[in-house]
This record gives sequence, structure tokens and C-alpha cells, in this order.
Amino acid sequence: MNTHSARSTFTRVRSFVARRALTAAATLAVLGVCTFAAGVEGCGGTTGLRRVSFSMRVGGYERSPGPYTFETRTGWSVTLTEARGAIGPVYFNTIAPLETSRATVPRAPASRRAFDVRRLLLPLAHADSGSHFGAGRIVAEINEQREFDLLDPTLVAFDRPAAGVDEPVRTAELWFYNRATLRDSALRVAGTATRGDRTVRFSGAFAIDPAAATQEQPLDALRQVRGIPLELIPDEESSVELRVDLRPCFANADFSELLASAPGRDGARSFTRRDNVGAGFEAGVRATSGTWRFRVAPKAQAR
Amino acid sequence: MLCVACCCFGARVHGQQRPRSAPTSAHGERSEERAPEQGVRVRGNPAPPPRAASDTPITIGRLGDIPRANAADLLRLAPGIFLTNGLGEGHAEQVFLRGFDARLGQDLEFTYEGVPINEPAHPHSHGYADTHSIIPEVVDQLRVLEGPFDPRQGDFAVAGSAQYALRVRERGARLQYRFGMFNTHRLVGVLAPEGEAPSTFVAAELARSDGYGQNRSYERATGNAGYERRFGNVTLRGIVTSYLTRYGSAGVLREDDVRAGRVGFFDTYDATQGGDVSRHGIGLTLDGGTFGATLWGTYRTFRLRENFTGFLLDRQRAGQSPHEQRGDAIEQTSSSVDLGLRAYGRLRATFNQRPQTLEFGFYGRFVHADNSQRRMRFGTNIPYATDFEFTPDLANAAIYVDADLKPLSWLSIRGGVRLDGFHYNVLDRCATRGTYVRGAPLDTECPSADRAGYRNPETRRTASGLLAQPRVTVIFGPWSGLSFALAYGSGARSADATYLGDGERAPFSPTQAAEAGLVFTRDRGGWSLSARALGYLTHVERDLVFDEAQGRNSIANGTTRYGGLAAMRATNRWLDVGMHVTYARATFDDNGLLVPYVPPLVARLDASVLVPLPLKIRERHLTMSAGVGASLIGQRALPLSEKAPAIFVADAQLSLRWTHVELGVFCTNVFDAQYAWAQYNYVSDFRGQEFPTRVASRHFTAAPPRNVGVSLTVHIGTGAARHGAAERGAATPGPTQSRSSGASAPSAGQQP
Repeated sequence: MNTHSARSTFTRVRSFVARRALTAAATLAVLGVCTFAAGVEGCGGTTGLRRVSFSMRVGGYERSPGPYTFETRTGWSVTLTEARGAIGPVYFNTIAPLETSRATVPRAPASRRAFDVRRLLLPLAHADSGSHFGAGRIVAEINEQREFDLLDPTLVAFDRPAAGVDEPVRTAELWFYNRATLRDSALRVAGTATRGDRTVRFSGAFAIDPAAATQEQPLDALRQVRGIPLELIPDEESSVELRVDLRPCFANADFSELLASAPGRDGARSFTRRDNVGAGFEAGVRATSGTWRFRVAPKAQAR
Repeated sequence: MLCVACCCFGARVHGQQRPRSAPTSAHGERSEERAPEQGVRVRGNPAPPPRAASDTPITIGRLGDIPRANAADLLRLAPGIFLTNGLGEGHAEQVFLRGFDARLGQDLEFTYEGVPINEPAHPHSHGYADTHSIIPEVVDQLRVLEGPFDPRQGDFAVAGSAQYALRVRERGARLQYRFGMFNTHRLVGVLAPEGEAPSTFVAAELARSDGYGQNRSYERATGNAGYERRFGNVTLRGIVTSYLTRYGSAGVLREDDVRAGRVGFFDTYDATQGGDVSRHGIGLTLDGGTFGATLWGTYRTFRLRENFTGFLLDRQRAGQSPHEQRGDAIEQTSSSVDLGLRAYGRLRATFNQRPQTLEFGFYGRFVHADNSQRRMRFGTNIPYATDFEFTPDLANAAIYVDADLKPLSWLSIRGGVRLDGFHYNVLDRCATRGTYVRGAPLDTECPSADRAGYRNPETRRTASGLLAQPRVTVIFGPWSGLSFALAYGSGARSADATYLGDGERAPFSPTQAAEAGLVFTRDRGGWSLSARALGYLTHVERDLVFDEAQGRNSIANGTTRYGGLAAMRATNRWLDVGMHVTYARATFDDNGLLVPYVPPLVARLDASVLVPLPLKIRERHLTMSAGVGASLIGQRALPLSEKAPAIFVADAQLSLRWTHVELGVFCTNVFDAQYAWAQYNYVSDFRGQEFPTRVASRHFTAAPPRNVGVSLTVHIGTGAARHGAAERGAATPGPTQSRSSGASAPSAGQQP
């Protein structure tokens, strides 16, 4: 190949490459204009999950009309005449439910703890040594307190919807704050208990006592009932119902212990955390199953 | 034949006045280095050969007249860069670049005159890069390489690197006072002795402001000085920087609180937030053309107080006496010493009558730091818990080989491989934090016992790692000013000492990057034009994402980015225009979701005109300069599939100059756009609501509102004395020519 031929070949190659380069430049320019528009709009793709809000209603457990009467395992027939509570805020967690945890198991009165044979033989298992079985992740919440009649099965809605993201919920958390209208308590009940010829008028409350906070059970832990089972993938049409059943709170109550205390001006005897009725009531309130029953309402019903 | 040549790249400069903006030529070589007009031959190094189509050497020139907050702000001249800074005037800028959320420097290697700025093992962010020690008036050139394509690029060059060249071309002296809204004052003086090289100067800055909104005041003092001396073929350059500041920070606000009117857009939750920073550095560069070295030493102190979560994280823990939430404010402190050396030796040969170069380089860096992070009671400076307290010693040694081959007139092949070694020696002075043995005294932060009995609360951890990073560039052309470049490179970010375990093989965050693009440059009819368009693809194996609970970054999954950009700059005697637009798409590898906060579109226009007015006073023309800068940021993807509104912000300035005196007015955020700078999505509780909120919520830091101010500048020197004396067409303010080219690279090994 002579020099002229080589130069000619090189010139052709060069012009070919230059043409290709210009074509590429034009293509890039067109692509640039297209992507500019796309970029301004930021279209295409998401970062995952979406914000949702859904409703929640709360009420007493469903029962036939009439007095709120039930039998306890100890043979007492209990009729609740008053039961009001204030629930909230409510948090929805991704963590799976666990039957019990250190934070949610109420502490029995010290005088009885030593005789709890089951506790000695089968210590409670904990997923970690913290205040709960793991923090999980809160994906929705109702940042509001709602007072309602626990005896009335009619569901009442929270004023504000739950706000969160569409991530699966496995459990719910109820937090309690004392309320002035409930005489500085979160739940207040009154009623009568009858066994044989003995009738006991009683009243009592579940209240958050800041003075009861300890290193192991700080105030926030005292306020909350964590790990209540709820299977929910929230969306805008979701509606969650919470039914409150107070029967488990008195399941093991022996009201005869209250007879040792003096009745109040209204003739009712008050239970406290120090007697078996009060301890059982608080245990029931703090239990993750039994008292609190969540249910996801069918979509049509929710609408 | 391989022979060692000395200073084959003789450079020439214009022998008389020229526009302040030195136009770029083919692929970045500056025209004054290759276009002698007066035959004044001086020695100096040319601009570094380009490594990719995105290799952007930016001569600041007249675009420096557009209002800039600081030296980091100059980065916006580079394609695809978007900056935010919502945590205070003394806080490093958050950098977004081509789909990267480079945070505070974790993915972008910053240097000035070869001195590294990124701080490894920094308590606030690994790779924290605070460029505020650089006075923007002395930044002559900025080279932004948007990818790991050059073997000289080191740690943190994941998304690329930014190299500041500090020089002053306008010789003489300049004293400027600025006064703006929010009681903002800034005084800056630059002294550049006439007849000396551009690298010889002294500059100082004092600034203070009450800041916009609440708790954004600041005070700072900065000094930069450079000196250049030539000994035969060898050039010695020195640079000294000193900087200190104290600043307030408004921190983040919850969007729902702002919407509900509980706080104002420019308010703060915690007025104790802010920081104190000092940074003092020295760099010495010896440059002999075929060999060179840069030595540096930097001493830094850092203190930052911030509160991202309010009252959320202070849960009751074992070993603590009962307490309520005391507040999540954290105080991060660090003092560090940074010593290093980079050096190179270069072999040159001629093949086929074309110069071929082979370079060997060495990089060594040692950083000793003393870091801590403590939790503070809300609204106070009283610490109640220690998150960490450790002393890392980090050593980084690297060697590289880089070839610059030109086998054909239209083909250049550049590249090589870089081998990095890292060694970590971390003394954790509170390794027992969180440990509690029943019966032990409460509230002991670093107990001297664990379940096995007594133990010393200190623990030492060492780790090391090696990494090879190949990089290669192939350039076809130029043909009539048009070049086509292909580039591939592997970069990495070193491991964060905070997370290393003893004996661990230090993990890196390797990056694979590739790009292809066209570059066009031409000088004609008094115009200098450069334009580029390219596409890119980048993959990061382990990314870092911001963890608000820790107040710092934590490791996340791999990510992939792709996109394209187009940029151009046109310059003549009276006009300087630069514009660029970049599209980026960044997704996580495991689920294909978008990487949040990354702007898909960044567009920027900078334009400056300098014209003599037909008005003379005492035979001197009045000259007018005007500049405008505008940024458009596309809708950013936010967590929960939401989008942040697009942002459009414009800045402008106008000034009149008569001989020595220049009077100006400037305005930033001309349209007073109210927008969020940084945005986050996480759980916080600032007690703005009746009960604790525990669902992730949108947070933001407020960008500055409109600021209008005036400036008075006094120019002193023979160049200033001549200003406006020539005829209209030549009345641009020309600098007194420096003695040598000054076009030399910022550092040995950094730019050949």
C-alpha cells in the first residue's frame, strides 16, 4: 500500500468516525431533550411504600342488650354498671406478637411473687433483655386519646384517622394517659359482684402512676400495652375495630377480699393494685390477649 | 526508545492582558498554555490530559462574579452538581452529583493544591469535606472529574473528584466589603504582588451575619496564602490555609409542624445547635516536570451540636437511674492531624513522533483523630451519655502506574491501575458503654466490669485492606475540535473506622463507572467554545445512607446509576456563559427502588457580561459587569413514593467600576423561592403534638430566602490603574501579567 492509498484510507476512516460521532452527538442531543422533560417531572419509579390513612373505631364487646353480667372462674357473678376508658395514642407495629414480655407482664404484689411456682420452674422467655421483645417499627399511629363507654358495643370512631404507610402490621400498641374526666385514671369501672348471699359493690380504676416508674419499668413502659395481635396491610380503605372485653380482667377475682376494706360514701368498695381484684384488673388491662381484640373490618363494611 | 525528557511540555502564556476568563481548548487544555502570542516562553505544566468526556476543567474567570456563598458553591459550575447546606454556615455542603447523594463528601474526593480535604473517620460523616477554608476569590480553576477515571484519584473518589487550584491572576491588591440583609458583613482582601506568579498571594476574609431565621448566625475568619518560587527547572509552591468559625444551626423542622403553624419555616426547635470549626493546613509542592512531590499537614478541630429527633431515643436502659426523655441532641467533637505525601516520577518517550508518557506515583496519608459523640440534655450543653469515644489512626498508602499513550494522531489511550492499602488502628476508649452488671453503680457510662468481672473499658481494634482499581480512557480525535471519549474506572471509599471490628478485613465500597461522550472545543472569531455530551453508568456495591438516629451515615445496599449530561461554555472578551443539564436515575440493586433525595435533573446557567460604558470620567471609562446564575432542580424522589417540588433559584449581581473603585449590588434567590434544602424522612418527637409521634415523618432544612446587598471594592495596582484607560473594546479590567505561566497543576501527582 503506497502512501497516497494509506492517506486515503485514513481519511475515509476518519470521516466515517467523524460522521458516526456527529450522529451520536445528535442522538445524545435528542435524548437530552427527552430526559430533560423526564427529569423535571422526576417521573418513573418510586422509593417504595406509600403514605396511607385509615379509620379506627372502638367499643365494648358485642353482646346481647341488657346488663353487662358475667361469671368469674371464682364463682362470682359480676355486673358492671359503669366502665369508661380513654385509649390512645395507638401505634401499629411491624413486629410479630409474643405471648408475654417482661415489660407487659404485670408485677404481682411482692408478697406473692415468691410463691409463684410456675415462674420458678418456667422462667419467662424474652427475645432480648430490653424493655420489650424488640422495638419493631411503628408504621402507623393515631395520635389522639379517645374516651368511650366500655359497656356499649356501639363502635365509636377516633376523630383523626390513623396515619402511616402501607407496610404490614402485625401488632398494635395501646398507650394510656390519665384523664381528668376519669378522675385521673385511664380506665374506671364500677359494679356489683355476687356469690351466694354475698354481694359486693366495687369500683376501681387503672391509672398510670408516675411514682411507680422504676429503672426496669420506666414511665413509658407503664403507659403501654404492646404486642396486641393485629394482621393488617393498611390502605386508604382499611378500617380497624377494637373491642374491649372486660371479663378477663375479673376472671380470677375474689371479691371477698374487698370486704375487709371500708366502703366509700357511695357504698362501693374500691379495689387497688394491692388486692387481688385490682392486681387482676391491671393484669387484664395489660394483657396482650383477651381484653383487647383488634379486627380488620371488611372493606364494604368499612365504607 | 524510551528516554527521560525534562519539561517537554513547555508552556507559553500571553504576554499582555487577556480576558480574566481563560477559555478552555480541546478537552480542557487552556489556550494560554498553547497559543503564544507574544513569544514569552515560560516553563510550566499544562493542564492535565482529560480522562473522560466529563473531565471538566473549569476556569472560574468572570463567572466568579456571580454571587457565591463559598468555595463549595463554585462546584455548581460543574455539570450535575447540586449543593445543599441546611445545618449552618460552617457545616460542609451536601453534594449531589450525577445520581449520587455524596452527602458531606463521602463520594467525592476534594483537594486543593493537592492537599486532601476529605476527613476519614470523621465523627459526623466518613469523608467529611469542609471546603470553607478556601476563600472563593482565590480559586482560579476547578477540575471536576465525574467518575473514578484517573489513577491519581484516591479515597472517596466514588462519584469523582474536585480539585481546587488556588491562584490570583489579577495582580495587585483588592479589598472588598459586602453588606447584605440579615446584618451580613463580609470583608475580604487579596494581595497579589505584581510580577510574581499567580500562585503567590495573600488573602484574608472576615465575615459575620445574624443569619436568616432563627439561630443561623455565624462568624468566621479565613486566611489563604500561596508562594511560588522557581529554581531552574524546579518549581516550589507553598500554600497555607487557616480557618475558624462559630456558627448556629437551625437544624431540621417537621413539615407537619410547619403546616400546622407550630413553628415557622425558618425557625428552630433547639437553639443550642451549631458548631465550631477550625482548620489549619500547609502544603508544599515540588514540581520538576518529570518528578514532583506534595507534602501536606493539616490540623482540624470540630464541634457540632445537632438534634435530629427531639425526644425519642433516650429510652430507659439498664444501668440508668429512672429518667424521662432528656433530649436527643448530640455533640460530636473531633480533633485530627493529617499528614501526607504524594509524589510521582514520569518517563517520557517518543514513538511515531508522538510523546508517550509513563508515570509512577505514590500516595501516603496518615490521619490521627480523637472523636467523640455525646448526648445532651435538651436546650443545654450538658452531656448525659456517651455514644462513642474513640481514637482512630488511619494510614493509607497507594501506588499507581499511569500511561498516556498516543499511538496515532487521532487516538489517545490513558490509564493504569491504582493499588491502595488501608490500615486502621482504633482505640475505643469506651468499649463497655451499655454494659451493666446487676448491682453495679448506676449511670456509669464506661463501666470497668462486665459479667466476667473486672475489665478495662478500653479496647483496641485493628483492621486492614487492600484494593486494586484499574482505570482506562480511550479518546478518539479531535477532528475539527470534536473528540469522542470512552472511560472506565473502578473507585472506592475506604471503610469507616467507626464500624470496624478487630481483625476485620476492611470492607470497601467499590464502584464501577463507565461513560462515553463527545467533546467539542473551538476558538474562532474571538470566541472560545466548548461543549460536551455524554452518557454514564455507575454501580456502587455498598452505599452509605444517612441514619438520623446516629446523626451520621450507615451502610446500605448496592446502588446503580445511569444518565446523561450536556454542557457548554462560550467565552469572549465581554461575555462568559456556561450552562449544563444532567439527568440521573439511581436505584437500589435489591429491589429496584429509587434512591431517595437524588435529583433526577440538575440544570444550571451562569452568565456574566463585562462591558465598558460610553461614559468617561477623567478619561477613564466606567465599566459595568453583570452576572446571573440560575439553577433548576427536578422533582426529587422522596421516601414513601413522594416527590419534592422542583426548585428554581436565581442569583444576580450588577456592578460599576471606575478605575480603582467598584460599586456593586447583588441578590441571591432573586424570586424569594421558599423551598426545602435537605429533606429527610424518619421518626422524631419534638413534642409538637399532645402525644409522642412515632411514625416516620418528613423533615427538612430551610434554604435561604432572598438576600440583597451591596459591595464596595477597591482595586490597587498598576492593572487597576489602567482600568478603563484603553478604548472601549479593550477596556476590560486586565490583570497585571504574572511572571510565570501559573498554569501549573495544583500538585505533584494530582495533575501531571
